[in-house]
Order: sequence, then C-alpha cells, then structure tokens
Amino acid sequence: MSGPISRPSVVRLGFIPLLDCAVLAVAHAQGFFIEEGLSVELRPEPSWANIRDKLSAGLIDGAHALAPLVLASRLGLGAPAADLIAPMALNRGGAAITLSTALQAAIAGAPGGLKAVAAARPVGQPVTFGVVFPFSLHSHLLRHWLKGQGVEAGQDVRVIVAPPPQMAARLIAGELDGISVGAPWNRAAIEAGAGVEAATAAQTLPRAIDKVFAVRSDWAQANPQVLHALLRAMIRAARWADAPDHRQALAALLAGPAYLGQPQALIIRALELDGVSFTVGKADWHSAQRLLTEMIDAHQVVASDAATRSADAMMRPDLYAQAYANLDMA
Amino acid sequence: MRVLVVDPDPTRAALVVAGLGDIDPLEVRSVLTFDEAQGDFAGFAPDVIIIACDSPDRDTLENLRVANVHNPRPVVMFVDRSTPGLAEAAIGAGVAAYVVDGLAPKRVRPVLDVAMSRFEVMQQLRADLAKAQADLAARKSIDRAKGLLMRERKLDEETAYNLLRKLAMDSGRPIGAVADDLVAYAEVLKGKRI
Repeated sequence: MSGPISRPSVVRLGFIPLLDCAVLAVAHAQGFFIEEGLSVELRPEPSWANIRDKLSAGLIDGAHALAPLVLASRLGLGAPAADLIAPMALNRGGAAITLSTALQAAIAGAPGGLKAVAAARPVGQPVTFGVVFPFSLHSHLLRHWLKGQGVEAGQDVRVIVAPPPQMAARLIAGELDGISVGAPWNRAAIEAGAGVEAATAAQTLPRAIDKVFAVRSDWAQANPQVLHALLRAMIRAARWADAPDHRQALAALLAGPAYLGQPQALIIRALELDGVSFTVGKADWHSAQRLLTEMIDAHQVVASDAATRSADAMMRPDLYAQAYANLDMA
Repeated sequence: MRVLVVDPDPTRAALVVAGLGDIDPLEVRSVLTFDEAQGDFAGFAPDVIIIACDSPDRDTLENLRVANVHNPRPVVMFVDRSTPGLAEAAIGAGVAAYVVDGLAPKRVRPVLDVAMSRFEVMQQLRADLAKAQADLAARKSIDRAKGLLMRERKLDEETAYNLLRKLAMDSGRPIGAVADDLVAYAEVLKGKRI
C-alpha cells in the first residue's frame, strides 16, 4: 500500500453482537486490518438506531449494518436522511423465525392454523412476535411467513421490536410467541427446548443480503485509501471465516466477551446448521432494488423514481471490485 | 406536556429530571428500562421520550405506536430541521429524543436542550473522576518508584523524581506508566514476581 499518508490515525467501526459481525471481528482479531496498515477501533453498539445515528453524525466511520437500514437512512425513513453507502455485503443466511413450542403445538392442533390460534386469544393478549428492527431482512422474512399463514401483522398478531440478545430469553420466558432474529439467537432458543424453527431466510429469501458494511458517502470520498484497505482486510477476513478449518477458532473468537459472550458450542452449531455464509462480498444494484421492493411491499416507503435512484446508488460494487482486484489471494 | 426519561444510569436520569423541573408545565417520569414503562405506557402516555443512547431499548422505541385504539400515532425520532447539526450534537452527547408524531418542535426543543446539557455535565463529571483516579494511582506509583530509586541508588528525593521524569520524557510515555514499569521490573529482579 503506497501513496500519501492521508490516513486518519484511527478508524472507528461499530457492530452489533451477532454471528454476522464475524467479518469485522476476524479482520480485527486476526490482524488483517493491521496488515493493511490500519489502526481500527472496533466497538459494540447497543442498538441499530445507534449504529445508524453514529454513522450519520460521523461519530464512527463505518459499521456492521442491516442492509435495509442503510436504504432506509438514504430515504430518510425513521431518521434524518443520510447518504450512506454499502460497498460490501457481510453475510447471507442466519436469519430465521422460531416459534415457541406452545405456539407450535397450538398451530398444529388448530384446523384454522395460526389465524385461528390468534383469533382465539383473549383481548389484550395477542400472539406476539419479536423482530430485530423495522428495516431488516428479519422483518421481511416475518411478513412473508405471516402472509403464508394467512395472517396480517398488526391486525391478527402483534409485532414488536427487541434487541437480538434479548430475543431468545424473551421467547423462553414466554413473553414472545415467536421471534425473527439472526444467528445464534434462534439456536439458543431451540437448544433451550423453548422453540421450534419455522422458516429461514436461507430458504425464503435466499438471495437477500442480510448485513452490509456501511460508511458515509462523503467519508468514502475523503478517505478512499482507508476504505480500500478496510475492504481488502474484510475480503480476506470473509475468506478466513468461511474456511471450515477455521470454524473452531472463529467460534472461540465470537464466543468471547468482546463479541457474543455465549457458549462456544452454541456458536459452532449455529455456524454449522444455520446456513450463514460470509464470502458474499459484492453486492450489486439488483440486491438494493430487491430491498426497495420489499420495503414498498411492507408499506414502509412509497414507490417513486427518487427511491429507485437512491437504491441504485446504495451498493458500491465498483469499490468492492477495486479492492478485490488489488488483492493477492495467495 | 409529559416527558418519559429512559436511562440505565439512575444518577444521570435524576440530573435530567431535576433539570426538566424548571420547564413548566411538565410532568416527568424516569425509568431504567423501557420495559419498566410498558405496563403503564398507555396510562402515562408521554409526549416526549428522552432516551440514553447506551440504552438497548432504542430500537424498540423506533417501532412504537402510542397505544390509542382510536388513533395510534407513531413515536418518531425528534429532528429539529431548523437547527442544522442539532441531531448530531444530541447523539454526540449520548441522548436521543422521540416524540409522538405531530408535536410542535418548539415545545420539544427546550426539553432536548436540558437533556443534552445534563448528559454533557455527567460526561464531564465522569471524565474528571476517571482522571482524578488515574492521577491518584499515578502519584502512588511515582512515590513507590521514587522510594525504590532512593533506596537502591542512594538518591535524594528530588534527584529520584528528576530521573523518573527524564525516563518518561525519553520514552515519550506518562511518568506514572514509567514508574509502574520500574516497580514491576524491580520486583522481577528481586524474585517477587514470576
């Protein structure tokens, strides 16, 4: 890496403790960032709203982010509009819906399925699903699944938002009847004997991108070399993370208190069984248009030329390709 | 106007609540977690929610609708578009404001201003306290290192201190850190460690 030393001393990155923060965690812990000449500060954030707002306000430089959240920010949904871009995808798969064993049994025993079960609930105690964020693959997955059951979210059943690490616990405690969340939290609920898998993003939305690496467009323009180096490190990290030989080491890293703080065995089974892949890197405009279509379908945004153009400019496969081309994959 | 303060830090929340007491007419409640407020959220029906950015409940708020059967109104992040940079400043201070959709910005602004100033005061207090503790720890280390040098090298106190200061300047590190190292190495040499 030659060139003028226009790099800021420290690059500040944020993440949410989930299996799919692996690319950032590996790039940091395995020294890929350092090898690319970067000094990175990687910190967990307590909420997606914080990730969005800190990124928009310039308090962090880049982040692990829900792909639909990046598009929502571009469109000014839920917060002031921010010109965020996603030069790299971080994972596919891992998101799933888990039903409580009680709800699963009730549905199996009711000829009218979930709709009948929901209708039979007393007033004030609706069947309640938890989802991680309004603008997320998980909310689209849940919407599709509910539709397939002939059920309308917000009418027949209640949908609330809760942070991923709380989901399994709240399903186990009986506060939630179903959850749509990323790995490893579905498996945590299933292994506790509290839940049954009902659908996975890997099957329902196989091409959908779950998380992306997001930065502000103006930051990317001002720091092209830093971004280039970040992408190179993360492309290498994604390869490392997907290699079966590294599964134990990856699980040990993610299980640690700096990331998930969960049993290593649970992380290993989530890696083996939940269909997560990290080497999905390049995200093109098709994937952004699919996100927009989902959001229009969910009545989160109205279709317009402006929205289409905004989605077109969200993914930056050009930046990814530059970093990838420049990489010696020895 | 009813204000709900959600903050996992009760000391900071108390500071915000006290500050808001000057704004009239206002009814203020504070909770550690949003869950705590869920039960009587409908009863209290806040117009403004001030939430600490380190609370994990922000995402829950983002999707909330005020439980009103006839007209459920969304809770939205408060953005005063007439003041550029305000949203950034609030996030920088570690606080976010949410309002029930439709509330006039000029009524919300003083509430957010108070919250931001109290959060900043608290941040400053915490930073000062951390610095005071670090200074105290450094002074203890320096005293130990000085004593060590005085004993082992038969130096007087001032010369011992000057030697430490030179070591710190030469290595470009804080004098407290250099003193810590010196004491630690001396213990290794004496066989007290490892």
